Amino acid sequence: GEVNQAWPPKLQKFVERAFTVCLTHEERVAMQDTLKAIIEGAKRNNTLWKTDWDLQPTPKRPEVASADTPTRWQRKQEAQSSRKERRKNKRERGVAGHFEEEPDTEAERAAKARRNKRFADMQQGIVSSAPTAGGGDGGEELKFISSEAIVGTCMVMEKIFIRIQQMPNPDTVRPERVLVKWAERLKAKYESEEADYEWIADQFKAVRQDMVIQHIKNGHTVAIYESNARIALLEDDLGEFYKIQSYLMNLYKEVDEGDRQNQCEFLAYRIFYWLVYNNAADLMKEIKNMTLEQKRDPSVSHALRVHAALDLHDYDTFFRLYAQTPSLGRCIAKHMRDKLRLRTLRVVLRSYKPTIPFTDLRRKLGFKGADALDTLLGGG
Amino acid sequence: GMAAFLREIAALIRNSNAQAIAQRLQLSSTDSPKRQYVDSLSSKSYQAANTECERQVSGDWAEVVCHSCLAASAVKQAKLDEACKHQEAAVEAFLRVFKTLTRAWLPVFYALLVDLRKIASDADAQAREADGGVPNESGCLEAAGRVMRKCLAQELRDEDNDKSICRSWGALFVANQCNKIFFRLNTLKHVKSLVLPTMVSIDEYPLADRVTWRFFQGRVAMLDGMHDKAEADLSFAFNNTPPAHAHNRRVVLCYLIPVRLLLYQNKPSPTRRAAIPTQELLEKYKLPEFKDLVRAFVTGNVMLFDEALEEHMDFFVGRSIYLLLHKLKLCVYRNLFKRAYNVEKKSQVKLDVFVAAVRACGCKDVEPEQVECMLANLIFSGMVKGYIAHKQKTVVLKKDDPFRTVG
Repeated sequence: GEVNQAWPPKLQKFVERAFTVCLTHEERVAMQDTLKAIIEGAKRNNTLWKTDWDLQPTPKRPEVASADTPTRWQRKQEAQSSRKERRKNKRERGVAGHFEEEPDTEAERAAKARRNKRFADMQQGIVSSAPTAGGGDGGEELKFISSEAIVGTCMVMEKIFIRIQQMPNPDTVRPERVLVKWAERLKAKYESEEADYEWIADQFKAVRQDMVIQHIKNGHTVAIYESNARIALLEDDLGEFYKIQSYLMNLYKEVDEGDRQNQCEFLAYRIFYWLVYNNAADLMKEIKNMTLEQKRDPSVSHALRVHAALDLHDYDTFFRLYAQTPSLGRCIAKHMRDKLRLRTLRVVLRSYKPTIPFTDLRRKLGFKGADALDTLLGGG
Repeated sequence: GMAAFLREIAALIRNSNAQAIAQRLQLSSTDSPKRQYVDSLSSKSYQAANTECERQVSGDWAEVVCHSCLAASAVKQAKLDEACKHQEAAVEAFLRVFKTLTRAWLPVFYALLVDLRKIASDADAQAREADGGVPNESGCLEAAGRVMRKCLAQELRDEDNDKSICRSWGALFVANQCNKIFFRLNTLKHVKSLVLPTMVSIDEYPLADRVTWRFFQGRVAMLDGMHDKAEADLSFAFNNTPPAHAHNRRVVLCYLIPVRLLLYQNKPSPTRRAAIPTQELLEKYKLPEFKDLVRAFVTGNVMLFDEALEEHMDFFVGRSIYLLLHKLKLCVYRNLFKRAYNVEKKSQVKLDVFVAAVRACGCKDVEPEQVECMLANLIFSGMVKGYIAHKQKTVVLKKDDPFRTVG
């Protein structure tokens, strides 16, 4: 930049600042015009020397169409003219048969050159890498995650969940060992009822987010997701449970064998989930992708038998199986149980005549105590 | 030498001999000059191959020929991923040419698409094996599906030509290729989103295309629980498949049999009874997996039914008919109880009789509660007309057709 004795030194700095945001020659030219206008204006108002130029906002980077890339208008014109030309050619040669056509427009030649390069590269083994998607919880958020994992440096354990819109600063992201420790604490707080579920769920969400940002996919991640999922089940938060276990099921595919010990437990939960929401299509997909070993696992096999019973409205088998539901399956299964109970009531009342003893009805509906059935029937 | 093939193709293009071009570009082609040409490609760079091609074949056709032959070369070297990319490029190059052509050139289009689907499918299978059997999420077949869907939506909407020669006549064939892909990938939403061009009505397409189309429509209807429609579509497909194409008929039967059995369960009638496949039919079409199942169904053998379902679970699950077949179990019970009733035809039958019948199938440990449960459900669903008298531990059946043998 020029040094002008008639200018205040702070203005000099201001001008330098303005030029640093410009990246191309065209932008610098445009910025020069902007600066000229600002300076002329200040001269006219007699504020050139009175203004504290350090405090003035730097002008925005100018939008300039560079000479290389055609403007949108230029591109449109070109496309229109090439279309016109093609239509003219077609009319000239008629409809039947084929007329050999050379790539005649600039755009077509460029497209052909790009294609050639792509295949020449491929042959040499140069693979163009597609930008990797984030693949975060449920997949919706975090699509902008860069393919490079950042390493967090934040040592503060507690963190509320904020939906991020762009790559965060590493000093707001907690490293793995902090996350693992905090997740343990959260689990303990839940078990001792020290904190309420809403807060714990929120904290877990933030932990999961930090893990996803840093591309941490190992046994620790699995453990954290499993803890979170189990808590969600206990709290009957099926919506959150679904999001967690969706990610978890994919996670199992990427971790070592040793970290997959609980996969069948969660596979069983997933089957129950499909049953509650009547999702035959996804259930079928699940069964298709199951290995024989998985089908034979006690939890999974139990879930499949529950499904078979529900499918036939076999309340007898269902309640027998329900009583033996492993792990936290009952948290989900109780929804099916309630639905089946209503149907069973109708079935029994319709098919048994003239009467059926109360105790028998109670047993068929899977009730253990008399009061529960009373409530269901509205006071006996 | 090597260029003989290219000169041949160039001549065929000039003479508008679409069939001959299609035959040569197909992967399965045994044409000797083509084989020589493909072999020569393994030692050439892409640029060299392209340049050589352009010397003999002009315009976008050069890329069509070059890429489809490079795909063939890649397949020979088991580089399926690469083959896929080349075949896709061949299709896209052909589309640029196709814009100016008529239905006369559809054979080439078909050949390129079928090969694209096959290569993509094999590429995915190869990748799966490399990954240790893990089904991969996004792969070549999905990409191929996208290309074909776009073809159907855009390239086959031909408004420039007369109906008699327009490109839209290829729509049903392409839609069927899409169906094959989307059913393989299990993406039902794509199947349902296929829209045919309005210029041609369904009945005007070639019969073979219509048969395939109705087959897939029938499968969609099955998955949606619309069994009557499914039966109509699948029956059409079966009846209009030439008996000589036994393999295709077999594929249709895999879906037609379960759907007819289910319809029989819902509305039993003498005419529907005839729709239960005989053991001879199952033998003829090589469907041993259904043999035990059907026999169990007809005789009411609950144990055998369970075993048959279990033994061929993979076969049924693979065709998405497992759940449907499982639902037939209630009807199996009905058939069993009917046989027990038919022994004496008394209108009051002790529960023990039914329990004994179930035990006689081989379910030695079955509890009376379980049998009662099945009976109650049969009565509730209307398959059995009567009621359970709890105190007397007896089932009281209606005198007239208690097991609803007539719809």
